Amino acid sequence: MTVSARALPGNQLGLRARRAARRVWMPDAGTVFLAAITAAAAAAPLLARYAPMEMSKAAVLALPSWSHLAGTDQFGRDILSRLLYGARIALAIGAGSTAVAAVCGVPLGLWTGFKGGAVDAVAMRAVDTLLAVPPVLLAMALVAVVGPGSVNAGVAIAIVGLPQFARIARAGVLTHREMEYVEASVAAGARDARIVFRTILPNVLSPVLIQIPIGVSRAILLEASLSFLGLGTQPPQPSWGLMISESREYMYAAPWYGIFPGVLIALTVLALNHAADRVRARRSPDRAR
Amino acid sequence: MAGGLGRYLVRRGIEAALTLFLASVLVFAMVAALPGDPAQVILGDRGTPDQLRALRAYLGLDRPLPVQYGAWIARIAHGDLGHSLINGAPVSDLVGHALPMTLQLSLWAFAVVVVIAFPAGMFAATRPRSPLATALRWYHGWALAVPVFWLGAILSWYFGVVLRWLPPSGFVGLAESPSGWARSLVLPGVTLGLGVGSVMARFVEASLGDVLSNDYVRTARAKGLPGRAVVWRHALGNALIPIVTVLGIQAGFFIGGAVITEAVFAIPGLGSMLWRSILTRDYLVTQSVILVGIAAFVVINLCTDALYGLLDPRVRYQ
Repeated sequence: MTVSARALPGNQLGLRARRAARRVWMPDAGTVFLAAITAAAAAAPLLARYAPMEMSKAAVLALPSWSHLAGTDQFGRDILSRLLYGARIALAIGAGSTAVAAVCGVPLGLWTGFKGGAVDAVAMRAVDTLLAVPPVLLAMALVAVVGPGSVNAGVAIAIVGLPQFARIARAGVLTHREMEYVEASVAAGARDARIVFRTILPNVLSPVLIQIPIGVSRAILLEASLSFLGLGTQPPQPSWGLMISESREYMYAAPWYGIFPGVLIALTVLALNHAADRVRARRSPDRAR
Repeated sequence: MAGGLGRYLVRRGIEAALTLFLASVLVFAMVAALPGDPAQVILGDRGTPDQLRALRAYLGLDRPLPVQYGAWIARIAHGDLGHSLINGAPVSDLVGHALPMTLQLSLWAFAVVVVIAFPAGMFAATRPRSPLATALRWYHGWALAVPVFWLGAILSWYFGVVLRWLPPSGFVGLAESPSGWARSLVLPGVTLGLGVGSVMARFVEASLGDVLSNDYVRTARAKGLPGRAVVWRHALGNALIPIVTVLGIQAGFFIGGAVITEAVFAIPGLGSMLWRSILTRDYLVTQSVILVGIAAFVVINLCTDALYGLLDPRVRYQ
């Protein structure tokens, strides 16, 4: 790294320049992929050459070609189009359920952490119980009660993800509750809600921001798993997990049918996990309050 | 000193019992929450009016909910988990038949986890800047991102159908044929263990790396102990403590993964049973298997907590 001559005395200017450079957030391969897949999912109706449910008796289980870039499935439906619409389902359910989990879980954690006492004890018992149930099992149990389907799976996944956000928010509150700026707010006569939102929330933001991409990646895997088992998105909808399930029968004749959706899931999850790592790295040394 | 350990174990035991109790209420609510008349919903079109009446009496639906719950717990305590609505078999029999297969699958997967996690983690902790360590880090990222069911499907197809080295699905009993048993569990074991193996490898690396930077390790090295002795004698024991705890938490992903793996490889264990029961709306089976799954997770974590208490002397002084 070059150091300008002006930076020599006490290295002040060089240090500032380096800090500023670190603050600039450069997109890397993972970010580019996430942006691309989100854009592709949003623009699916425009990008997809065929309708996702459009069948064709002529081209069943066709090899990838110019007319069908990813081949066709057992009903002659274009796989690439279905992958694009599958991205919509994966991202919608993944992001949607995580958003619900965060919006419900964070305030809950903030409130019980701040209040303390019996309210906190009871709420945390409930949260710990939900966390004691293996995620797949909990999702399956919820779906067993409400029935299969995309929306139901989304709700179940939101419930699975909620406890973690509550825990994180509560931990943030417990760390900062005793700090002086909070005591100052109380002394100044601020109401509970104001204290929570103005002073504690910004400090809770960091771990919550890290948890969000992790939550989305877990939600996408969970939705794919549920759909694979026939408990989530129902046919003929093109969920990636469902496509993998349907492709098993034809793996010998058309392996690309099962390989493509799996690769997309893995790439998306990998990109999200990587994004979480980046957020964690950025917010630790620079922004620690 | 032993009193501290005893208090720790009792406290953990009480917490586990409380969690299990609350979880059982949740599981009970599963069936109680079914819209409409639970007996009607459970039997669906299959029920004759006589069967409906019998089921209502059995479930005690005319009594208040807490009484129903108490009766359900009492039945479970006596080993009565209900009956399957498909074939009328007692659920306890079905569970008894399916559980060993799930346990054997878990054993193989656990072996895979240990084989991956310790060598990879220990290597990465001792030589963190080597190209192999970087490659491992990259590999772990992928191993965690790949969906379990897809990995199973690909392995089953490639090694089972294309290469024909191993059976693509099914389960061969140990009594029937030891080699057949082993061959039928290799692919499922790898499928289930690969992901958790990478999680544990990362954790072993972090935990061991943490311990290796401690002062007493520097002392050991300064004493002139060869690297290997330092790692094995001094560092690993202390690093094992948090590893054991994390393994308990990972059991949850294990249990969930077992359901998916059994579905992919058509192994008739508890996971398959749960899956089939949800698809066929066999609610009493679903309820019982979920309860068994949660109980297993709570008990496993209690055991790792106990192990942690035994391994880490600091716990006894709390």
